[in-house]
Amino acid sequence: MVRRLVLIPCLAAAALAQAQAADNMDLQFHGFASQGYFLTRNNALFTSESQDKGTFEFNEAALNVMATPVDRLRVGIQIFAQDQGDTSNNKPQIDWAYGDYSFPTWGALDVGVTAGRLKMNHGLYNDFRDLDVTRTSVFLPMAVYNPRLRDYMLSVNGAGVHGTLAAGELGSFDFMAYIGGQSPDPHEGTIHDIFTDLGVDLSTLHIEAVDGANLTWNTPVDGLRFKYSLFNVRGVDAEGTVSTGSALPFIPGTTAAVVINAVWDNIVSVEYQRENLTLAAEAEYWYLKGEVRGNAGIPFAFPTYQVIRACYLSAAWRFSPRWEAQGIWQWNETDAVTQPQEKFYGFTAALRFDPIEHWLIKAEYTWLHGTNLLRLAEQPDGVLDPVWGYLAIKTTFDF
Amino acid sequence: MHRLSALLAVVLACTVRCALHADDAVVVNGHAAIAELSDDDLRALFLGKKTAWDDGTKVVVVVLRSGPSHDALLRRLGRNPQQFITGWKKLVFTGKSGMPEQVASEDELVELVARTPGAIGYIDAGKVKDGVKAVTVH
Repeated sequence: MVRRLVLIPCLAAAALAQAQAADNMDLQFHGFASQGYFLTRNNALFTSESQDKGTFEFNEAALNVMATPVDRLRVGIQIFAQDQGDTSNNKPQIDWAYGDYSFPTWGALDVGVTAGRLKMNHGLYNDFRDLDVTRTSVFLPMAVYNPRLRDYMLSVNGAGVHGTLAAGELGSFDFMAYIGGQSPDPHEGTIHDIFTDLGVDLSTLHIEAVDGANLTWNTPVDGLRFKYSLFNVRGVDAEGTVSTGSALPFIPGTTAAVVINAVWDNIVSVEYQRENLTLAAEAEYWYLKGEVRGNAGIPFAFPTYQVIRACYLSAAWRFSPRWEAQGIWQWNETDAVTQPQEKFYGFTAALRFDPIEHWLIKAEYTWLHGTNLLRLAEQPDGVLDPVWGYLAIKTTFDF
Repeated sequence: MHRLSALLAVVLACTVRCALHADDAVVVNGHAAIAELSDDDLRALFLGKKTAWDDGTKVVVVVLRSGPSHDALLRRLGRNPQQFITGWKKLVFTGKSGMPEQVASEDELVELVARTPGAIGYIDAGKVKDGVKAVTVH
């Protein structure tokens, strides 16, 4: 069902592209391409090659087409590819592909409905996670926008409703709610990596439902907005075969499974944007509960959980028409069966230069204390250093 | 005496600046059934949040690449040029809207608004011509 929902706008966009190109009607193409360099100190991230000598496997590209075939209806699709160390490897994927219909304004209320493959609107910036053009820093603060979870935070296949309510002297309220699902590949991504590190060859991965909602209050103070975002994931079912030498006390060749009953993620956000200044802060509370099943001579199951508390503060200042600087402080505490009370915190300094409107160059250095983001298997020396950092340099062209 | 001159110069500059503000105009296609807009509408239209007029016609935002009228629009929206363009790119790369049409001169803007149903632009009031109409913003 959800695949059909994705196909409908894709086919519609393709058909409309042909029909409308002839009429030279309302059809827009846009895209971007970026190339970066990523160097880590003391630990490796995304690939073991990042440490010491750095990697150029740090690029992305996107191409989209949008059309308005009839009044109030917009359709479009974006193809996106990324290479980030050992992940993604420039495999093209449908980033979003949907149809969106806007209803006539009803009093103070504007409402639209949307269906297809939707970007997950969560927190201030999750929609723009891969869009360098939208921020000063190379990476969003990893404490809240964990790059390891990127695959599961990008899009859902489903439907949603969104709108704006004008509230007079109180400002206005934007809202969005969506329901859908995901079809992740069991052979790559974070869940695959976790199983691989445990010595389990993952064979199936299913996510039953991903639902979310958010509410933004655009206050009467110009540029000040508050946002609350929530999503819920249900019915995650991952299963694989225990290999010889597994870290788990299971019999090799038997089946190991993780069933996640629910994930709840809440983000409270505030942003103030005025002229050359952008201030932002977000706080996240993530709760996951599930069950691990295996066979250690006799079949058994034990409960598992994960709680994440995270936040960051950010300030960006455009000090000349072409230059912008940003500072970020971030903090994350993860409490789980496998990693009780593990924390990290860090500071980022970033600089962005826009030589022309459609071309930018940026650099950031992030200093971190704590190893939550790291994967032991990626470390060339097999050791995690609690104090580490990274340098990221990137250039992006868009049209 | 020098202080008085400086003060007069500041007052004069401010007066001219305010007068320019007062002389700016929001123009729409001449066939549009719109006579007035609220300030919230103006922001929603020029920031890409409102993509269709009440009669269903698609909103086509036309902006100048630079100049005093464009600066006045940005001040009204509370954005610098980079924030304005970045806001639109956020919409474009998440499929929520196309980019606004950018033109080099006010004459070009007026001409484009005049021949494009659903178009809206922000110009010097003195440039309003046949084919477009100025709308009141309250």
